[in-house]
Amino acid sequence: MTATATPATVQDNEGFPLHQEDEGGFSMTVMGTVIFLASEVMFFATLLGSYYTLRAVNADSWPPEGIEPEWPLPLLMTATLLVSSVSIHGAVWAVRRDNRTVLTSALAITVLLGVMFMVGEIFEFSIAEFDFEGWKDGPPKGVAEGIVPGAYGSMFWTILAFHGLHVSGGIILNSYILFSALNGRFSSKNYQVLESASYYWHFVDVVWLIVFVTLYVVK
Amino acid sequence: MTTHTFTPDQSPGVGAVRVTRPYRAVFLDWITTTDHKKIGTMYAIAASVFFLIGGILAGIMRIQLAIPENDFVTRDVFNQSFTMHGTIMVFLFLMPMLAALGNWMVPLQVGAADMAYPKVNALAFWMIPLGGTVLLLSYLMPNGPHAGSWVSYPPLADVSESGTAFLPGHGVDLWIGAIAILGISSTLGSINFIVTVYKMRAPGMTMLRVPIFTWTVIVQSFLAIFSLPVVTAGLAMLWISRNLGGRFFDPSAGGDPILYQHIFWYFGHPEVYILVLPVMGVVSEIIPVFSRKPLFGYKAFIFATLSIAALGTMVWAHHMFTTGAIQVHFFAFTSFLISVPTGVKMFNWTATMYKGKIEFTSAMLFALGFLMMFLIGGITGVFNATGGLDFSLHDTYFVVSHFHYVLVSAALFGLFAGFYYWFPKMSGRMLNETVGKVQFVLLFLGVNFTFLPQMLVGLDGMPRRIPTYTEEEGWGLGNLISSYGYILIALAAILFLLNVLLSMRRGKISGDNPWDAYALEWATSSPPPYYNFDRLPLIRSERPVFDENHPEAVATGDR
Repeated sequence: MTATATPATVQDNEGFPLHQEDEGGFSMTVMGTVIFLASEVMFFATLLGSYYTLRAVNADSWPPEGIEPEWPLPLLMTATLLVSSVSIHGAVWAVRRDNRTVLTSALAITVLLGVMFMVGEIFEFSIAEFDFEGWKDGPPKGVAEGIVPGAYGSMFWTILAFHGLHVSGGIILNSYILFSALNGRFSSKNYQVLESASYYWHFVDVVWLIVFVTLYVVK
Repeated sequence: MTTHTFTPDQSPGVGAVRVTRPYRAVFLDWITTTDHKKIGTMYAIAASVFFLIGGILAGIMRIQLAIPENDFVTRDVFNQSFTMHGTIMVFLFLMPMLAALGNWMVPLQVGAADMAYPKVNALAFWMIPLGGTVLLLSYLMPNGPHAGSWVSYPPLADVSESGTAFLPGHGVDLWIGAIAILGISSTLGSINFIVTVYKMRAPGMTMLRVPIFTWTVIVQSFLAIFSLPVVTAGLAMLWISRNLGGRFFDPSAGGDPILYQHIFWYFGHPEVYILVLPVMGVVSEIIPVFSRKPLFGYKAFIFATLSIAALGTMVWAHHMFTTGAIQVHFFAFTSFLISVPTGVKMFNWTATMYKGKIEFTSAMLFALGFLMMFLIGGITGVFNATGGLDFSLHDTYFVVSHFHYVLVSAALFGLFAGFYYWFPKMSGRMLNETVGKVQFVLLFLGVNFTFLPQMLVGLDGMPRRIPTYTEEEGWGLGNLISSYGYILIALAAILFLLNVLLSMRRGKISGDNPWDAYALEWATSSPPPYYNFDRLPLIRSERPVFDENHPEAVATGDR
């Protein structure tokens, strides 16, 4: 086999390349994903901005009397999602080195951790004492009749639900990526889709950190 | 065995051979295409259909308001008409029509073979008819379509404390769904434009050699990406309020109706620039060509566009002065600031024409019409931005007149200019110039007859969105003139449609560059082959085709 020399870039007399060339940096797929994520940032910024606006409007009753969001389960969910961010980055690390074993196992771990997160979130929804409109079984002990979670409950569950929808979409996406990886679709020369999916997953992770701090720490 | 062969780039009428294909094959070709030029054409067709629907709705309103105490339609139908008119014209006519021009011209202007993501491009297009269908389906719902205006403020668009909707039925819900679909479509289209320009420019085309129209499309795309998701989130909250019992906007449960207004206008004001910036780009392509001069201040124009976009995200609350819940001074100040970059653009255009060899083609006439109408729209905007004055102008016909001067100048004058200019490139044939000039006169008279009287009755205190008025209020004459003006605008639109339909078959063959124009799209054939370019000229300035066609001017520095 003869060694193929890298062809010198053909340039015109002012130094501009005469061929369309990859300028390096983002691939086309990844660039589109990043711009798409910018629009997603604005979506969650609106929800979180609305949360803080209503929090300022109801400064003396936020969260309303009788509501104390419990943080241990969400903290566990945070850890789950953080580890999954590391694992999908491991998948990207592996595909750059054409390491199929690490790639598929890292992706499988990512999907599994995503599912665990969603199980936690669904459990969080199922144990709720209040929803958008009011208390599920009447106001808890010691809470006056007139106090309703109203705007607080609406923001709380809407933010959680939209984040949950994005995680669910990410689980489907990661499963598809895992399936493609098992079929040997990715290599160190061709992994833009995997890289894009990893950016999406990191985005979902970062949004969760902000959601967690907003809903359970700052309140 | 017979084989049928045809080349896909044989567009009708160009060259000697005209390949006829079975209708089914043509149909399948169009609905499955990922070619940016065909998608652009389909955008234009869809937008034209919705323009006719929106125009008929405007006609219903003009008939109703022509004389005092008219009972042509019921109040409900009137409310539904202005709501649907606004929504259709903004989301289903103007945005798709700009996407049509962008789809056609952006890849050609940067020397690319297609958009960055052709399939996403097709998806973004097909969401337009889908969103439009969802919106129009609300006419079949028991209580009819959305009747609470395109801003859909709560509490009107929301539910009451006891859970009954002020606007019953599912008109509002379908409207929310349609806007979400159309917003996602625009977001996808915008991503496509940005990546196309960033990644697929021809060799030698640096960012400061990109044609102005493409620049404005990029800035428009960034604005869309940063503002459309905001309204999607706001409308999701509104939908949850209506259907799942959310209490975001209900003060009795700790909600805040002003919050919705902030969210809506945080999108709504950039939306104005989303609609108007590409039209400014179109005009900036046309005026230099027909003044036979380069655009005066190419870089200044780009920075003015960027400043308008940046400032445009800081002014939203000037729509909310009368709520008393915002800093009037701050938002009045930032709104005034926008007139600075807009003024820069006005100087770009007028200084380009100064001492130019002006050719009054139809495209140039419409571009000049845009300048004049936009100037009136811009100056009335300064009135509205003045905090104190706005308290008396808010929600009157003065405001209606103001934004119609801005948007109709953009929608009609700018887009007609663009189509008269680029139709030869799209079809290989010229539009009829005489018809174009007649159409310009009709439109110019029509727009001013329609909207100038509205400004006067608005100053006289006529509120917007009212279904009728009494004779004693004295708004009859203004409204009657306004309604007659509508007829002129409608005639101009029909004339344009006929011109396009007839010129597609019988128009004069244009040749590759009928205007001796400058930008890269004129370097290829008219219409372009499906791969766009056989060869590219050397790109050494923002006017590569001029450089190639006039080497003597380049050599002497007389450009």
